Amino acid sequence: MTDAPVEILVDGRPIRAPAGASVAAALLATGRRAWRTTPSGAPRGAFCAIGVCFDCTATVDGLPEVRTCVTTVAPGMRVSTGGDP
Amino acid sequence: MTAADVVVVGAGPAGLAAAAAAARAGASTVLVDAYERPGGQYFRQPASVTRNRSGVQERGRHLAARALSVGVEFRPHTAVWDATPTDLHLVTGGTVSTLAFRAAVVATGAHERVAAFPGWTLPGVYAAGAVQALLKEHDLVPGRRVLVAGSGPLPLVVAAALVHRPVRVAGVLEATRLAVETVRHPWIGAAGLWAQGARMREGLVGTVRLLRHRVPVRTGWGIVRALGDSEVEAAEVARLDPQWRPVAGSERTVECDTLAVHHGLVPNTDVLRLIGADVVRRPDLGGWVPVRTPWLETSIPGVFAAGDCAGIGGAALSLVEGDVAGAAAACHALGREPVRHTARQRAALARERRFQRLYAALFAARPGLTGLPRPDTVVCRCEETTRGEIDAAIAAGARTTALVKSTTRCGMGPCQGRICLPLVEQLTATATGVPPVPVTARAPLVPIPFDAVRRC
Amino acid sequence: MLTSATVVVIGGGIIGSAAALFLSRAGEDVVVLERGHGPEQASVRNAGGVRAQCRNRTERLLAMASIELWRGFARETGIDFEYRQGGNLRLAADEPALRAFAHESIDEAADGLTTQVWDRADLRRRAPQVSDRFAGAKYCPTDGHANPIRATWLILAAAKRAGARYLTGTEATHIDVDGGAVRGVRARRGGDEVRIAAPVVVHAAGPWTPALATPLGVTLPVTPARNAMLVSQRVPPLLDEFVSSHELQVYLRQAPAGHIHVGGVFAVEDTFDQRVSQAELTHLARAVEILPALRRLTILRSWAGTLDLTPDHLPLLGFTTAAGGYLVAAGFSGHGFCLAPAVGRTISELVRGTATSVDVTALRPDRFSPA
Repeated sequence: MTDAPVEILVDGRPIRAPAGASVAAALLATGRRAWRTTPSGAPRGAFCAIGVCFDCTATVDGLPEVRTCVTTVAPGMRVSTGGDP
Repeated sequence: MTAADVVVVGAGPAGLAAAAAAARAGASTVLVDAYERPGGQYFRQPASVTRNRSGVQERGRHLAARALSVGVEFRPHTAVWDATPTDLHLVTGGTVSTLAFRAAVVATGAHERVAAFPGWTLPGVYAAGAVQALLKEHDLVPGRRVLVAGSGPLPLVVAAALVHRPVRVAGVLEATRLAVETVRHPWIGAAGLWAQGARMREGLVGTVRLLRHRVPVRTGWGIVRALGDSEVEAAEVARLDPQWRPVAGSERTVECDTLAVHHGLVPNTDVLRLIGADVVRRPDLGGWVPVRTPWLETSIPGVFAAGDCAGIGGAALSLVEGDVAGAAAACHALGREPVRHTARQRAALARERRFQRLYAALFAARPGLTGLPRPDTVVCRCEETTRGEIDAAIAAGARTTALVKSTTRCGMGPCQGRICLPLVEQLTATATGVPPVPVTARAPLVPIPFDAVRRC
Repeated sequence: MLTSATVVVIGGGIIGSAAALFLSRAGEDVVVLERGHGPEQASVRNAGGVRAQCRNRTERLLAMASIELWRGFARETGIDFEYRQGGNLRLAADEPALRAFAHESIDEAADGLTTQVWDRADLRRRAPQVSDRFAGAKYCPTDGHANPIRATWLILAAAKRAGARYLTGTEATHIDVDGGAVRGVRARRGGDEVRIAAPVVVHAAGPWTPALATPLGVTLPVTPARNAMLVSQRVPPLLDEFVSSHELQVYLRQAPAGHIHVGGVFAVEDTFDQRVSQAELTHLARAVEILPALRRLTILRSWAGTLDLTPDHLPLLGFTTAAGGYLVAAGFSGHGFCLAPAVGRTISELVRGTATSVDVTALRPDRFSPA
């Protein structure tokens, strides 16, 4: 078994992450700490990182409100942070 | 399998121990966890297969392997979205399934209690457990200059792990003045620390490491606010009185881009409450905890609870409780009389419960925390309800947590109040004097697609 | 604790609060007894529908009067209780249903309520997000929905401002009758007894009403029934109308914050238990057959309330003959929220002895007793 990097698409742009990384970790590794906006426009990203707070959510492969901190990257995974499903 | 003798919810220390014990006793055992890998938080495994494991991670891996080797069926990515005294309703991705059981061990652990200081919703503010999880699992630090603050062993452990990474640890603030407090509770202190060699060593090693790296460590200090526009740029800290209230005039600004904050843990009792188990409020144990027999059975026959979800007590207590609960669950499922605790189990339980009391005396949340949010500070992260709105609702007649939730939307977001309701409960009870009542747990416990439910 | 009043209202939900509001404004000295710490039952758990179409005639007239009063509250208080007259859309499964709608529309027009019958093409054009399986719909443009929590608290606050006294955490235990007339109410508050002397009792305790009526020799045919709801994640604006399908037994509406609220035209009878079963959740998920966009969206929360059902699903409203001064306002069968303002006004008119703005003789509480 190796850790061949996995490529996912975030808002259409490719990001490489180590196999086994969570989507949140992949985003954080690029230096990005906010990828969601609340209804009032406040930036949010990960907070609890254990799947409890739902701050880190994004639409993943068409499914909305997915917690990126407990979702493992898969080749070709489509992540969209636009907010609207 | 659509049915099992014993089902265990949560694959952390308590769940792994319970599953192994149940399977060894001859019960068909299914272990479910919402996450991809077993281990929970304490035994969080590295995501990378090629990275070395720490000693703790190796123990966790071994425990998981042992559970599998004695016949436990492990179902990862599987969350409980509904539960009754006889069935679990599970969801994996977009697919639902039902698992009937004769006995269940709920080992859903805990999550961090939050202190809603102004600025706590800025990117860059993390629960200290989040920083620890990212480190353990992904070898990642979400920032470059980290201030660690709060209370309990966790902040120290996190800071000590951070100094080995290419980040600057700006400081470690412990709210409790440990030396003073231990002197105040000498018997609890002595009893609690007796035979806790491993913990004491870890604490000592951690402290020494921090001092060697010249990381400022202050007791009796805490965070007052996080500063910054769209992310953390600095933190305002202050000296704290024994009730954790900031002392006016002692405020200082610390430059940092990341805050790792920890103010204790809150048991995750949603599955238990949904099943109907009775809970009692134990602030010393982190909040609402299930009422249990000496075999850790809740008020629902056949449903047991083990580990932090039944009262914060740490990994060692979780392991022995899991052992006891798993065996008892198997006996219930197989129609046998419950076995007596072994001498080793009794000793371990007694020792870890003494530590639990010390932990509570030193680190259980203190009133000063509720004074941190200002009127315009967000309390409910999901719905962005502010302290001011909560105070106004209470003034208008909302005298219970449920009524504050109903009228302010606190706790109506996707996290279902796990993060904010403990604080809302404290604010409401303090303002009204009405004894708190637990908010009703309802399905779905996690957001679930309409399509998945339609096909039930 | 001992006090007196001219009217005691048992039940601090929206019906009791609306009664307290109008009675207080009319000069009565009102005490409201609520066993919870605030409104926590059906008043704050319903879907918030405010509808005049598709009703029994008396209810239609009460609803039309209520809509005027709701609009008035919104104007007077300036408080936004999310009341939107976005229309009510009753979906027709087939042609016979559409024909029945056409007849109903004529009756409604005679009472001054304008409704439109849409055929399949109309429905596709005017509500494209609704599934194309329906033969058409009846649409009432002046109907709509509101936030039941905000609305209930608004009425409660107005009642208090008008002088009504609210005793929360106070559970009524006995209605005292002497010489064939009501003398007052006894209640429990913590460990203490509360006594309120009053010549009139308005009993608006929803499904908990019959228990206290029975000792008076009054049998109220009110059955408790669980009615569940669920709510979706936030969604961008999709729907103005309150939409329902009798065929699917499900209805839904979108709140201003974006969540879609889904309720069912079904109830689990004879129970006060409020735990929602898997079967009920599966039923509610049928909402995707009205709004296909829901398929990929998530359900965030569910809850249930306890309805007070009567045999004809119409309320019991009026003085009973069993005891002088005993007025029943219960059995709203799920229609209480919408009708509350007009019901409150009617109760005040009945108590004061003035002519009622809407004739509610058809809703008298003893209509099920043998003649």
